[in-house]
Amino acid sequence: MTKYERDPELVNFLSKVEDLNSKRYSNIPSSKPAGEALSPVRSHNSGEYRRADMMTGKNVEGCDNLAYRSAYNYEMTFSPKKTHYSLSELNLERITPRPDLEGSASQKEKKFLISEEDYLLLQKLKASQTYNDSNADKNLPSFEKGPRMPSRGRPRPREKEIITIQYDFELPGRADIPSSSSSSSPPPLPTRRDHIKITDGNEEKPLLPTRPNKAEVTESPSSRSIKPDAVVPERVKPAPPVSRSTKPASFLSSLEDNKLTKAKSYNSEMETPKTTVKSSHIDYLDSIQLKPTTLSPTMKNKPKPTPPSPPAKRIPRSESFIKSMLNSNLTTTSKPSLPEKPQKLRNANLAAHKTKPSIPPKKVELNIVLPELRPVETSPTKQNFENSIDLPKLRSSNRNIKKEEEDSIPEAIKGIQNLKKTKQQKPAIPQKKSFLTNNSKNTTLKNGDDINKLNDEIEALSLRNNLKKRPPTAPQRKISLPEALRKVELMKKSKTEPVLESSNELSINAKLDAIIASRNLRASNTLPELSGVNTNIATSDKYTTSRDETVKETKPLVHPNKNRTRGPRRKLPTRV
Amino acid sequence: SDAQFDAALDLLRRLNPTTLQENLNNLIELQPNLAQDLLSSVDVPLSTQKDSADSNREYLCCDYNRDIDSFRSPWSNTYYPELSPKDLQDSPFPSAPLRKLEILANDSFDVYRDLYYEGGISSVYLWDLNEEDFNGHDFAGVVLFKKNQSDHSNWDSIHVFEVTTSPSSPDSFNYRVTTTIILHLDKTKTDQNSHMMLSGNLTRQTEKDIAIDMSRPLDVIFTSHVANLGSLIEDIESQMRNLLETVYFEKTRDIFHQTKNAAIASSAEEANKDAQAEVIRGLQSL
Repeated sequence: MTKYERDPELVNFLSKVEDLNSKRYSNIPSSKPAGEALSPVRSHNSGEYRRADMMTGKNVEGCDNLAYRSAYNYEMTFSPKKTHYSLSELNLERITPRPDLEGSASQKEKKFLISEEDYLLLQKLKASQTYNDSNADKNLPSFEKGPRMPSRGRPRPREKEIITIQYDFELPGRADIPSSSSSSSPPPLPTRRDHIKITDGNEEKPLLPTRPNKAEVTESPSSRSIKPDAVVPERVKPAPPVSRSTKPASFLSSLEDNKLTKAKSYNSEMETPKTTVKSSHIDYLDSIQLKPTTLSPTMKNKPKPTPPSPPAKRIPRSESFIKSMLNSNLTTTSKPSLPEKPQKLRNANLAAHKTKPSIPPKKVELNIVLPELRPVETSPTKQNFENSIDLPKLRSSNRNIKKEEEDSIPEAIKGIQNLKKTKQQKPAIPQKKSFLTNNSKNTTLKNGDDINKLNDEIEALSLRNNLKKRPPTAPQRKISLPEALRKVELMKKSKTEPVLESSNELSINAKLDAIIASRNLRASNTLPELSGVNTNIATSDKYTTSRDETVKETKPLVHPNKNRTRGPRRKLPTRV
Repeated sequence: SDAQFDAALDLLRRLNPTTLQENLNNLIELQPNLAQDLLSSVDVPLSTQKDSADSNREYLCCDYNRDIDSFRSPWSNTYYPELSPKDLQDSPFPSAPLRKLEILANDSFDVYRDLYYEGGISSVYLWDLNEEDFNGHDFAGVVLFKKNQSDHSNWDSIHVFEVTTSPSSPDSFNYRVTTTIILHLDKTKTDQNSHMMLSGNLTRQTEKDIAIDMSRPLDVIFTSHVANLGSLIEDIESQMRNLLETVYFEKTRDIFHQTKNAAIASSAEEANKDAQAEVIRGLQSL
């Protein structure tokens, strides 16, 4: 059993029932056993109240009322509570007063709950007759003011018959439509569409909210189509996209500025790309959604084939792609390329093939890019670097100069010889001068020999003057340094060996001395230890060491142990 | 034969010193007629024997105190293992005065050994150079020192000396000492991780003429001989030890460091060359 909270009415009812029971059992204690008072619920179910009422005959109406209320309340309390009431349940439910209670009611009230379909049918019928009279004949619900308490089982007072019509949908032009009940009554205030008011005389009973979406979505367009002149209110939601296709272009143009319609139509419809492309005002979202369609049609949500308009544009692209592929095959470029690129690439390749000799322009560009830094700095550094590195060239140039100098050496030698000659002739020059001076006085030349002599002397003088004018020439080498060193070595060898070579010319004693000296030299080089050992006999205070490890490998090893004592006479070991 | 003897000596000097005994035996097998000369001329690491007659005192064994397979003990003047009487008749023994000198020399060099080696074993063996009776000169001998820090690291000093009258002056004696130091350092058995072995021998011959007053009694002459030999061997040993330390070990260290530094130097040179090449490339690219 589900827990529930007891309504205050039920509590009151139960308390009344208990009171009644207590009264009854207090009035007729002997008719019923005392034990039944303990189970009032069971007595309810068994219907012993009627019997009791029949038996007593008191408060018949009150008991009926009570029974009715109790049954109603019981149903309301113990039946599962409804959160809301659907329209179908409330459809055309006629609230009719009970006949036994009609006598007391002053006025009759008829209340109809009209569904939307019936209302539409009625509207159609009225529209078919006369449109002008339709407003006058129309019965609109009258909404009465004042709060009304819920009338659960309570008998309603008879009133003047008022027909109230409840619309379970939102009437579009409710504000403009007057109520049909009484023309004198002022038009009711606009109410919340979710509420359905039940006019019960002066009381209004608010019902639970209904779901207005169904009726609105399905039925409202038809009403609009019926009333094309009706002004579309602001709060009316836009029509579903289904009706948009059938609507004229003016409506589409009116929807161009609507983002939602653009987005929906873009994703769903095929024709929308045209509108979106046409529209100059493109939002960020639209631009984002446009890009994939133009660039990659496979990115769309729907795997539909390409839209009709883009293929018309792409047909030439495909042709160009095929052509480019063909061209690429011709040009043996097997790489797959974009439709437009191959031509450019082909052109680029052609240009590259053509511009193989046109590499210098690139260098020119490079020079243009960095014109001020490099040319100024690089050229001197290069030259300096080349000069610093290219030493062989300098050497060769020096060698050439030296060669030239060497070639000019004989001339210098000639000059030196001439100098010597002139020096040798110097003492004769003053005599000749005096002689010439004497002769110049005479101014007569006697012989041809004298003329030759004079010529020679003049030349000699000129040479002398020239020599005096010239700086003293440094003596230059006839032989290079390595050659000179070789010669020095040869001279040294010749100095050492000629002792023996020239021994033929010397006496026998000299020969013997040379031989002895050479032997001593060799002995001193080869056997120093042995000589030391031998010579130490004379010098007893000194002791010399024989270095066997210092002996060169080419020379025989010196074994000091070889010369030491061999020890006493002894027999060989058995292992030998 | 002389050439063979020289060749054998050359060969033994160039062969591995750790296998000197094996090489010597092989050479003797190859040329048995050189056995006497090779055994007496080639110094091998010293071995030890125990003198049972002198409370198992250890003595050193070389070819000079050997007869057949026995070695004479300087302490008891007996051969161990004992020889047969027939062999003992032919076995070499120093004369009595020389034996006296030998005992004195052993005692003296034992003190020396204790002072310088702080352990080890020393032995001195003398023999007569002349067939005649010992008159205080013309004798020869060997002074042996051995110290082993472990079983495979040995220091063996073999000083073979000859004391002869100097031909120049009759009052002086010529001392010619041929010293061989056999050093063997081996760390293979001690430490398995580091394998290092250093072995070699160094031979020096030294002569010195020292005057001795022969008019004095024989004991004094013996003492002067021992003193002269002792001072001479002391000088030689210190000199050869310095040689080993300053020349051979330092040379070994130099070689070691040079090989190490050469590798570093070569790498540095390569780095310099690379840097230079890069600089040249950079300059050329300008």
